[in-house]
Amino acid sequence: MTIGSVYFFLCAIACIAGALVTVVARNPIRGALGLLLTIVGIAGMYLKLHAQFLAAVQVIVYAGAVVILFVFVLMLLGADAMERPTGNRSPVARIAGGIGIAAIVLFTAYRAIQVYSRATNGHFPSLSEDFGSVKSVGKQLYSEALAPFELSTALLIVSVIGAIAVARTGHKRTALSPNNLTSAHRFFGGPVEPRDAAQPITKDSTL
Amino acid sequence: MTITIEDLRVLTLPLELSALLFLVLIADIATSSVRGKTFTGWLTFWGLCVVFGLTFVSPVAGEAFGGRFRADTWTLFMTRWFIVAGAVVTLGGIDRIRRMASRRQGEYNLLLLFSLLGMVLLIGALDLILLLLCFELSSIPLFVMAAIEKRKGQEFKLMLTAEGAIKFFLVGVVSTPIALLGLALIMGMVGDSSIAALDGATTSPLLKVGLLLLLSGMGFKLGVVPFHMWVPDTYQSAPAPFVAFLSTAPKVTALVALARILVSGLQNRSELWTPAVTTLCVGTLVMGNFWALGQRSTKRLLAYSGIGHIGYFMMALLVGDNTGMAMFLFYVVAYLLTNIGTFLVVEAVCGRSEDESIDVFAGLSRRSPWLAMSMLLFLLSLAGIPFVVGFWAKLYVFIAAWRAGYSWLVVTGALLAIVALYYYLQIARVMYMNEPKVKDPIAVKPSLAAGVLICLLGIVGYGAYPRPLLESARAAADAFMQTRSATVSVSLR
Amino acid sequence: MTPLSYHVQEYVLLAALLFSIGGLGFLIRRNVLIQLMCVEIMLNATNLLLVAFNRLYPSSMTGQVFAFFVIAVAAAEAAVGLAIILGFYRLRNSVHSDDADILRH
Repeated sequence: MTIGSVYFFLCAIACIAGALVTVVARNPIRGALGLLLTIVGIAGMYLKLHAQFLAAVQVIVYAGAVVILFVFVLMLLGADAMERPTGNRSPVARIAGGIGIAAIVLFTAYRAIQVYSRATNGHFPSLSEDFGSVKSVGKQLYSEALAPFELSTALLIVSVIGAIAVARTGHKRTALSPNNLTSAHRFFGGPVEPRDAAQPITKDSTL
Repeated sequence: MTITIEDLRVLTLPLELSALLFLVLIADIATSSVRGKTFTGWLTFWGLCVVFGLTFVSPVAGEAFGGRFRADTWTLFMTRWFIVAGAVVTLGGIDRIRRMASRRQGEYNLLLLFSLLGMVLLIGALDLILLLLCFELSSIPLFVMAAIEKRKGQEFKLMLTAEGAIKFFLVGVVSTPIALLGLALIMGMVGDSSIAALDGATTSPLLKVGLLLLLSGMGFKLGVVPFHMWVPDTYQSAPAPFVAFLSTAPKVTALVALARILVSGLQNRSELWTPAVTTLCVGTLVMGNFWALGQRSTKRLLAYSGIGHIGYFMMALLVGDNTGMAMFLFYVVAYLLTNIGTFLVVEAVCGRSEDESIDVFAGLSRRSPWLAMSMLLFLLSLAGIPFVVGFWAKLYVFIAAWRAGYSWLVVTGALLAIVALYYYLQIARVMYMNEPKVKDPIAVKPSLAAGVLICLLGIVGYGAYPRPLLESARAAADAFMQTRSATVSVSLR
Repeated sequence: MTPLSYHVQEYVLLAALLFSIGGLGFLIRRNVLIQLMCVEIMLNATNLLLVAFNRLYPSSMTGQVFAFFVIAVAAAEAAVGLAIILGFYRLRNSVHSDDADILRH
């Protein structure tokens, strides 16, 4: 067993364990952490496949942005994001469908392994020095893949505009009730906002 | 490979569209009143009109980014019709969007333009990476547009909208990895991402599985039969002018992406994909039309009829040669005009009351005879009755499929067209025979009426005189089928 | 330099496993947030496949560039999706797709 294969198995176990945790987790926070584990495992695989640039992007974008976004939304929803104890309907059909899909995909993988064992002997060819480096990937990104690269910026603008348009609740603000006000007053021991300073708050004052 | 200014010249049309996009963005930021936000809608409409006019001025032909994008007669033809669809939908929807999302009109119009930009770039894309990104750019804005409705005091309606949006989103988002896995397997067999290289793919079961996965992923987006469950729900819950867009342009985009990979990329390897597409085609034709029979909601009925129409599109793709693509394009134009028109009439009749059951149409001929007549013409065009454009579209597809040896498919299609006639005429019967519940005529906003009128003129005009459309469709299809030609030309028709 | 005895088969198998786990989770779970996470797992699996295939054709970086764009698409979809889920939650006080059951005929 070489160092390389130990590394491969560690990453593979991380990927699969993370994915399983995500699928079975009752608490979605645990699911998000499972996703994180999968993502880091995949980043490790990228390193093994000589895709250094992609490994960095994977960690920065996925672990640093997407998972954080998930966790943020989970925190916003609090306990409501938890799984309900019992479902409304029996999941038998869904499980059967899922197993069907898994069977198809695994069969595909089996055939793929057969095909590649026959065709290229499956061995990876030797590589040039800068395969997968920032330089070579960046070069391709800015020449041959320039159009998709520009489009991906459009895609991100769309997602920003879209997320704001959907999630924004309008200009409604929950007014401070006198109860809140006094407790805030008590908590801060003084005026809550600078403009309140001109009008000192008493116990029975209503703004 | 270097990028020169020549490359940008090829991208003139998409760049014009992007310029319009920035104008709308600036207008949206600069205004704060509801009236100002409505102005972005008018800006979008007139801007699209200007871009449409510019397509007739010195169109450019050529290849950009080392052959990854091509502008020719085909892109010109499709771009024009996408712009027409976008403009008519914007015009017809201005009033509804103002009512349903008064503060978000700017965002709505921006997202519509982004979606159009993705579509316009997709039709010229000759590279799988570009194809995927254009496709995502055209479909992600739709998720948002389906969920954008926010009105006070209509909580139940809003729940429906949110539910339709979340179903649409979940199906759309899970179809991406499925299609991608297919693309990854195909790329694994080809080793390159260009469409022209697809022809040299190693024949293996893996390639077939890849194509199958790609087909099912795209099937979700298209709403072909085993993957259609989101279509009626989303159509029923979303505002009608948005459905007018959702039911036409994105479907055509997905079909064009499929055609690019299957018909043009694998044109000499059609035995790889015809069995799967035939199965989907028959299933979609049969189930779509039969499910439409029992519907009491107009929008659900039109949703199932739209699923049925995808079957006819696939029949045209199955032919797989220049004639088939030309007939496909003719069907695209007929479907765009007819379906947008139908949903705009639905908006005019049901938009205010939020009730879209067929009974709302009762006695429409006595309340608003013009509206009833245009609805009747649209329904006849959907059903394929002479002499509106839908008739020629179905006839041409049938002729092409018959010549290609799919006679049994033509017979199936024709029989199901009769089934479809039954449920279309049911709406017509309610409109002309039943007593109206309310006697007063329906007030239709001029913008909405103008949108309906454009579609009406289109279907009647091309129905009376289909030759010019047929000829330009033929020229566009010929350009489409050339995958690796060096000479790119554009004919101004 | 150790001889790279590793073959594409291992990666194909791993990607297929991950994709099936993700797909299974998408179908079984009714929590929309978890379903979205499962979609991310599926996208990661396809990315792994793309990069592994790229290793077979080392003359260009097409597979890695493709994977790069898939990451961008996944981020955009996640942002939009979470906003839509928040909108649904505000109306129904739930993030369970079982609750999306009004529209039915």
